[in-house]
Amino acid sequence: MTRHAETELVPYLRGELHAEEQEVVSRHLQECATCRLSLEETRGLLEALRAEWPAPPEPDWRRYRAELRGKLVERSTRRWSWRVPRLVPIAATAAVAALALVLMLRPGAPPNGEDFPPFQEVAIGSHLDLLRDYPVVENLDLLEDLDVVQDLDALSPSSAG
Amino acid sequence: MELSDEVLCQRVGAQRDEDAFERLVERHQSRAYRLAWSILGDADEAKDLSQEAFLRVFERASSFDGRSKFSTWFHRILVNLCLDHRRGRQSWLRRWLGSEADASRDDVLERQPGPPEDDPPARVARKQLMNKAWQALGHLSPQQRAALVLQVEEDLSAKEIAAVLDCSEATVRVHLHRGVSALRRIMKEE
Repeated sequence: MTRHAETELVPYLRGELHAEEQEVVSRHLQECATCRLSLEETRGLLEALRAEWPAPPEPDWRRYRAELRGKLVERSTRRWSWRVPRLVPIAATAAVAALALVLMLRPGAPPNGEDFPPFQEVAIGSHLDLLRDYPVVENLDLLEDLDVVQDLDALSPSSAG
Repeated sequence: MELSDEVLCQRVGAQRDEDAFERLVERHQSRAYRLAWSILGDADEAKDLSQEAFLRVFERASSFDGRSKFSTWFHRILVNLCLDHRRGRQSWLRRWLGSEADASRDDVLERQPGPPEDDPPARVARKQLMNKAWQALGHLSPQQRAALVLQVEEDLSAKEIAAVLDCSEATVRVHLHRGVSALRRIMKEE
């Protein structure tokens, strides 16, 4: 070993080095006074630390565990309360979808799950004969406008009395 | 028959077993608190962070695969929490105190307990040496301090410390060497 034993000293003292490595460090220590001094100082320091390591102020362990249980409950509650607002719209959407499904599949509903025809289509369907007359269809908007005009007439001050 | 830590942890993970969790806490609370205190130097922070480590155990127990010892896995959670906290505290102080970065060290040192006053005379010299060493620990980097604490207080090997700090054994040896050298140097200076 040509260089000083540095990072090997602590594991050497604890007997953690592989046999070969341990042997190399041992031989180096026999030759190197600097490393022998380092080894002795390190040994003294570690022994002093181990023997006199200060103890922290002891907590009340029952209270410590009670606090811990409280934190556990608080954290799981917080997680749920954080999730609930996101669950509400999902649940509402699912409920609406389920309701629509029930209405579609109830007895008497149109076959093959077809939608109910809007009431405007029903009204137009009752006047199909009228729609076969192309000029009438062409003037449908005009007729609608006339209906409105008639309604306005009905609301005129003279008719209101 | 007493169940092992590993079995208890697996029960917590699989069944959210609160009794198993309680037993794990009872077994490890003292070591966890002491270890956190040795790294942080503050009793309140040590209590909070050791409790936080147990909460993480409860939340992440299902990810414990049993390949390592429970204590190694748990120490890793706890030590990482402490190191992150120390880094956060130091950067916060640096931001507020500017160049007076050493204030964080002094802050830690001031909070370390001194030797009890009723020591037998034969131990006073050793106590004084330890007091110096304890103060010098405040000057080490968080990793050096954590490595030294794990070795001296928990009696872990370099290999076990590497598993806790999630680094190589060679890196742990470097941390230990630098930590011990710094302590020796500081203690000689004072």
